[in-house]
Amino acid sequence: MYDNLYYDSRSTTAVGTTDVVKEEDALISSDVIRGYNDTMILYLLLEEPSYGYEISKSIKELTEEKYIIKETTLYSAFTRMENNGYIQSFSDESSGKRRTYYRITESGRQYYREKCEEWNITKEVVNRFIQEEDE
Amino acid sequence: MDTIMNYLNTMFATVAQTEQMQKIKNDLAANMEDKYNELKAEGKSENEAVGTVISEFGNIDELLKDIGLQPLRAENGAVEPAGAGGQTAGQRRVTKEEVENYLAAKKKHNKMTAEGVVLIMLGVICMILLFGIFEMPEYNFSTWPESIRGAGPVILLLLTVMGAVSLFIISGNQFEKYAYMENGVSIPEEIRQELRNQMEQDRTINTMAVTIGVGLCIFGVIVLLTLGVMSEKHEIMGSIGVASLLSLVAVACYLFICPGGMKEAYEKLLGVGDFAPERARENKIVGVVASIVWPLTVAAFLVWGLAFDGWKICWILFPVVGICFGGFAAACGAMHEKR
Repeated sequence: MYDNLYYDSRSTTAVGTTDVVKEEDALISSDVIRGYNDTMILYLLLEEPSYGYEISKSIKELTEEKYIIKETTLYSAFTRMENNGYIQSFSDESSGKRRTYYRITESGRQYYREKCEEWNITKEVVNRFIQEEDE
Repeated sequence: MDTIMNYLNTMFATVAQTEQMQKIKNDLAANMEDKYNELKAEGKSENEAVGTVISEFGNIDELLKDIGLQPLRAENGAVEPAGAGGQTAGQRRVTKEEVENYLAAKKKHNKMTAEGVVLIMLGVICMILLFGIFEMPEYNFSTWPESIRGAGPVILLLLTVMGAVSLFIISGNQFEKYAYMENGVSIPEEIRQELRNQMEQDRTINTMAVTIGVGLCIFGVIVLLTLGVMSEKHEIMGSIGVASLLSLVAVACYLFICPGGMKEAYEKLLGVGDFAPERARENKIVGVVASIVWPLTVAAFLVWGLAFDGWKICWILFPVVGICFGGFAAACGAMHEKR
């Protein structure tokens, strides 16, 4: 299985950590994945509300570390989706710490369904041009 | 965790320090702290945890760009905002706090600019009066060396110009960090409404100020002419006439700059009147011509005065060029409207 990590191609790191992956090693083009950041977040909000770190952790786990979403990317997505009315934020201290939680709205669910359909069509279209690897 | 906070502070050091920015910073800090704590709980070392959190931070410019734009239906960050020349696309969104800070700063800037202008005019007035007084036979100034009589008033003028220029520079520096507000920002509708209301309220004061200013100028011309008639008897009256005209014009300038400046501020924020995007191109042309014409005028004024000793009359360059330039600007406006 793959054990190299995907990084947002325009990220900046002030501290040079030894496990920073160069862009040539990235598996997924940032343009493609950027179009589905919102979809991923909405998926994770379908069942119940959640907050920033929990969502980024879920993305990392669900993709088996093939995609690690950046803090700034996540924050942009939250802000944008709240402006568009797809999610609502609220403050909650029940877990001991004061956090900003997000819940999905009806409009957000609708948008999620649209994006799912868009992806299915995209997948079907692009697949026609992809050569199957010999098993 | 300190390292992480330092990193975050550095990232935010170069952005505008507003409430909105502070909130974003706090939210990001909270997320990063969560991540750090969990990594430590999983057994990662301090270095590993800090390194991971920082390397997964992302790009602050991208974030600012993403939230600075109007909310778009398309979430793909690579898509250009619709209508690159459009009024609201691609502009920075500002908060109420930023608007209020801008207006306060603009008011102060206007005052300092007006004071500078008045200072220069005072210098010119004193210079003209002194020249006039030196010529008066009653006071017998001809015993003074001619160099003092010639250079003294000019030096006084240059001193006031120096003072005024310092005022302009200081005021300009202080205002610079708000200059971005005048380059087209996107303002939430409720604040726009408030601005419009304030503009309306100020409208009466503005009109009054402009009326008084124009009145003073006309009155000044009358005084000049009257005294000009009298100057046949006493030559000093000519200088006094010019001096009074200029003092009245100075007061009028103050009136034009201060309230007029605020009106301009509102118009710039709202993107209306002279600052509507349609007029931006025309304003650019006028601006370029202005930056050529006015320095040339000042140069001509100095040459005429110094080389040809025409100080008493060379000031007339400014009103003449001013009127011509005003005509040019108006013509530009008319031409553009024809399109």
